Amino acid sequence: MFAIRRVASWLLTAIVRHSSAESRSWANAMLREMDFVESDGTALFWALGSATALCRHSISQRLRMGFDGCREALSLKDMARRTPAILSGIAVAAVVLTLCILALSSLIHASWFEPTQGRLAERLLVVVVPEAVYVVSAVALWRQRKSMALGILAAGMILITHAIVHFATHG
Amino acid sequence: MSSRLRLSPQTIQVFDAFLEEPKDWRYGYDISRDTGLKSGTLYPILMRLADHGLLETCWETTEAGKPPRHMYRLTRDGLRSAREQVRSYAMRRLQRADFGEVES
Repeated sequence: MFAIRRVASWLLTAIVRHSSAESRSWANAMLREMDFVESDGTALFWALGSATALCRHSISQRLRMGFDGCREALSLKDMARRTPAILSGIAVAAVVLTLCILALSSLIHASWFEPTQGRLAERLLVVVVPEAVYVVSAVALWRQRKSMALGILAAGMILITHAIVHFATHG
Repeated sequence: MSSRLRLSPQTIQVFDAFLEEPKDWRYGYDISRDTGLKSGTLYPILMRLADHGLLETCWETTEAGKPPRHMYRLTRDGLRSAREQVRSYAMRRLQRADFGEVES
């Protein structure tokens, strides 16, 4: 019977060790109380019940933290603070796309350019190159200018969606 | 207060146990024995009550070498809330008994 109590004690000790900072005090409280449980079988059920309670507490804490994080991210004040940076990201993306379109235009009017290569050049310069620039710049800016990177990525998403719809309908 | 307190019959049982000796500090295992609630039911209730500021907790100071125990007591708000809830729960049970829903 002593082995059962040892298993119960080992289980709760392991849970105390792995519990979050918020739950640790409660986990310790349950562990201490187990010393006062008379029978070994009851001690094991005490440990199992405590483990369940701590898991539920830990999950609910994490969910609450997640919801609070989302709420904070979506708050109006925060959106107002981020909007200029997001718009500047979209503006940067628009400038990149304009430069690509100008490059395509000058390429098409070049004397050495083969008209049969027009479709390929169009796809490369209006979709592939800008998208590559957007992804690289968004990755580079992500840590220090996250909002701007988000603006660039949003523009990239709009462009790729437009391109997919365009190629699907016009071939 | 992060969310609304759920008042289950088990929470009322815990309130009842605290209201027997409102000023005394209680141990978790003693409450469990008095109420018949398992640790998996009792501790989530205690955690919720503490989160809502209805329960105060402390570690018992003991002599060296003996591990301390966690103790619980209702706060002033907790006592007021417990008395109200226990009373309204008893009223509801009586009303339901009058309509023949509860046999007591």
